[in-house]
Amino acid sequence: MLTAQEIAPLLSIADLQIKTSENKPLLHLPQLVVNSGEIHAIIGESGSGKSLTLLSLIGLLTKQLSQTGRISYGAIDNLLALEESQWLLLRGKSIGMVFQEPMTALNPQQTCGKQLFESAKIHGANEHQAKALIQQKFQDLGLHAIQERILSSYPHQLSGGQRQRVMIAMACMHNPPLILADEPTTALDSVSRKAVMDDLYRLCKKQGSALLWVSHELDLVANYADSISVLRRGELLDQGNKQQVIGDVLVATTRNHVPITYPRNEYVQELINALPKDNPGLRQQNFVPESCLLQVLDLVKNYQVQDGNYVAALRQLNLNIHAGETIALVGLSGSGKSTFAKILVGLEKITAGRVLLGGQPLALQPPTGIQMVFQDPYSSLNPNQTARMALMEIFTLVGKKSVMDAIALAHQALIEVGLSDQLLDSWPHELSGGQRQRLCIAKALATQPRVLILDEAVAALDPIVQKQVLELLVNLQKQRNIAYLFVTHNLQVAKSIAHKIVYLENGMLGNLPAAWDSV
Amino acid sequence: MLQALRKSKLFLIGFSICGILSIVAILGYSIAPDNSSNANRIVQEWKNLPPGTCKLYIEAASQTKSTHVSAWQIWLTGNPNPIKIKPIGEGDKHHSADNRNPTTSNIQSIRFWLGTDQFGRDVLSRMIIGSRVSLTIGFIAMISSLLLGVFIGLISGYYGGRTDKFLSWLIAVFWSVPTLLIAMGLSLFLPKGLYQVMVATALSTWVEVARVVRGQTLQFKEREFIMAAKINGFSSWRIMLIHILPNTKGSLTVLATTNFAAAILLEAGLGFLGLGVSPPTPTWGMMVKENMGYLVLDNAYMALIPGFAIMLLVMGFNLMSMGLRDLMDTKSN
Repeated sequence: MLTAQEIAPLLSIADLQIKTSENKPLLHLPQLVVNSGEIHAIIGESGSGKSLTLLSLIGLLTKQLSQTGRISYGAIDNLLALEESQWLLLRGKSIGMVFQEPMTALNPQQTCGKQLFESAKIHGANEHQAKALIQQKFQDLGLHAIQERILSSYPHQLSGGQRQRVMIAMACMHNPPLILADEPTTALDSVSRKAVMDDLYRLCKKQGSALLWVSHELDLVANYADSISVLRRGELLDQGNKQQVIGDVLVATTRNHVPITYPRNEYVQELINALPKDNPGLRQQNFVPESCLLQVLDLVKNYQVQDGNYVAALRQLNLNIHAGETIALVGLSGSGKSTFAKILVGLEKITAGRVLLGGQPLALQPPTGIQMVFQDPYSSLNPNQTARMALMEIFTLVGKKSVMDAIALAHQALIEVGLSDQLLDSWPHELSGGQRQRLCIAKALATQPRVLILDEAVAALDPIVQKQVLELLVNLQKQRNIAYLFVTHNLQVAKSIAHKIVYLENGMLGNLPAAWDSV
Repeated sequence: MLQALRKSKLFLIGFSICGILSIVAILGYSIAPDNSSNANRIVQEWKNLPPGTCKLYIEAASQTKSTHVSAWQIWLTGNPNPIKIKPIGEGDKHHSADNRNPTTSNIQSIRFWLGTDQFGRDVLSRMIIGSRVSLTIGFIAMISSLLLGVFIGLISGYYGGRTDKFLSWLIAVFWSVPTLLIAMGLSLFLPKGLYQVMVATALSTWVEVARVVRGQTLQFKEREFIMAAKINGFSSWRIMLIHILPNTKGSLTVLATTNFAAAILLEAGLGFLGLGVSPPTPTWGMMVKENMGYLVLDNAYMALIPGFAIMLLVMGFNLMSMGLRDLMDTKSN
């Protein structure tokens, strides 16, 4: 029995096809094999069918989609033929799952302890055993020192890395032979994503679990994966061990070695090229600061809370931005990044200090001459406005242009951000993520701002698109001599585009902590 | 959207029922056999005739001066001086010939497809004119509840804080007052009639609209496109009406059809209790009430006909709303 299991692969997918009810194919996966203890990464952009594969493996695919093929797992002949009651015995016990966003995957109304105990007890452990299980997992994840605090905390009271570790502890609770992870590090900042992936890797190795890991972060994949599948638009492009699929290009660049093997698939090479690098020549070179465009002097922002007390969001913040300069503002969530951005665009009032734009005090009401591009291109466009309507609205109401001028300007604005002006009459849902973000940039530039705040503006985009949008931003900067304030928690992106990186912590600017330097 | 609606059977059935009844209501007096105002031609001799009865009559000369009534006016309010009818019984032909010396061509026949009521009025005509009352009240109550609800919901959700607290309290208060109480209260200082019923229905149905719009506004105002609009310095009204309101049109459409149905039911209920439109204006609710006594007798159909009509119309609107809701659900998935 044991030997048979060792010889046969743990998970074997054969000819898995997922289609919509209108028979439109979403995914075709001819073959995918995961052996016991193996780490298999699935890489691909959004819409490539990565997440569908995982949902299908844990039996959570929506009933509106039809799936055919065969997934054999351990002694189970075909997972697709299982009843819901059989799934309940399997999930958590034999297959664990880690989701992308731990904030939404954990129940905000229950303490982490309650949720951990629930997942421990649901497969038959009593109170005592559950406690031991949780203790064991916390030990493995390096959380044992703060175990009591985490158990009694609600999800929002923990940091992103801690939340994701709680999710991992839940998924690994019963030492399942297979763990599924859906972009487990995408929602984390540069420092914790490596640490969390490290912990997940060690835990899998320790308990001998196989990991099927969906990711688009190639640098992490190159470090941890044993074998890789590459998906694009529902088709399998390449599959094999790490050497075969991505070569040692990534290992080579990080250690200053000349690569020996290269990816055999062009698309993978493209993905590797799109990775943000320390010195890519992406940012404007030889930048000489001229006049100071935006001056922030001793900026203080306090929020009034109940009974007359206040919370300091920003204390004594000083910052100078020059025309044509890009400054990356790095900081963890809650460090005051969004408050600062809101003050600059005129949505929050200043408690004390001064903000000067071109020597003049910043306008108290929007528009202030500072614009903003947001992280999520899906929620930063009005679903009921076409590109033309959105642009015309800004040109006529903010720019006070006549309708005829606004029509011409709208055409120009789209072309300037690299979109065809045939897209003028498309609705946001008809555009891809990259196209939407370009439209958002066009909208922001339509008011001729002198400073543009980019709030994680490329974080939600696929790597290749991300690189294209960054290139566009750099080109626009050259043409318009505009200043960028790039708010991000991704240090790689920050390093690739910014002339200067500032670190915001507890409402004050400081030096980058040592942990960030190693990223 | 229209493509998907065409495929939805529920919506199509509901839409056809409401469509046909609306056409009947719009044509109104133009197709009613008895086109006198309020279909109120009382003929004592023809009480409680069963459906399908055919009767003969002579058109009597009108006492008042016959003024010309335009077709437009007849369509709108009915004929103010309808023809006078002198009914003739089975063996009456000779008598009447003696009396006034009419030619046989003066004798005309009339068929009562749905019979007559206790005053000898044509039930079919009263049903047709009654559909006008139901649909008018439903429509106006729906529109005014939407206007009021959208206005209050938007302001409450968008401004938040004390405004929201006050308006939410107002919503809760109206939510708790029974509609019948509002109608009775209104009848103290409004003349009993169409307006009173409309105001009462609108006052009790706007609450749900306001709650839904408030919820959706709260949800949408956190979205980044609203923040982008604020950064551009757009006015609050522009953000509410151009950027938030169109995004609620899905749930508003569903709510509008449901409210239409609720308003019709409410009007029927008020009419049945005698709190509604005053006689002789025919309304379906009042017709059920007038004929309720016959339910235990042979001619129970007299109460059942208007009852069935109410059911059909409300069902039509509910089917439409179900079809729309299914469509919205799949869209959100």
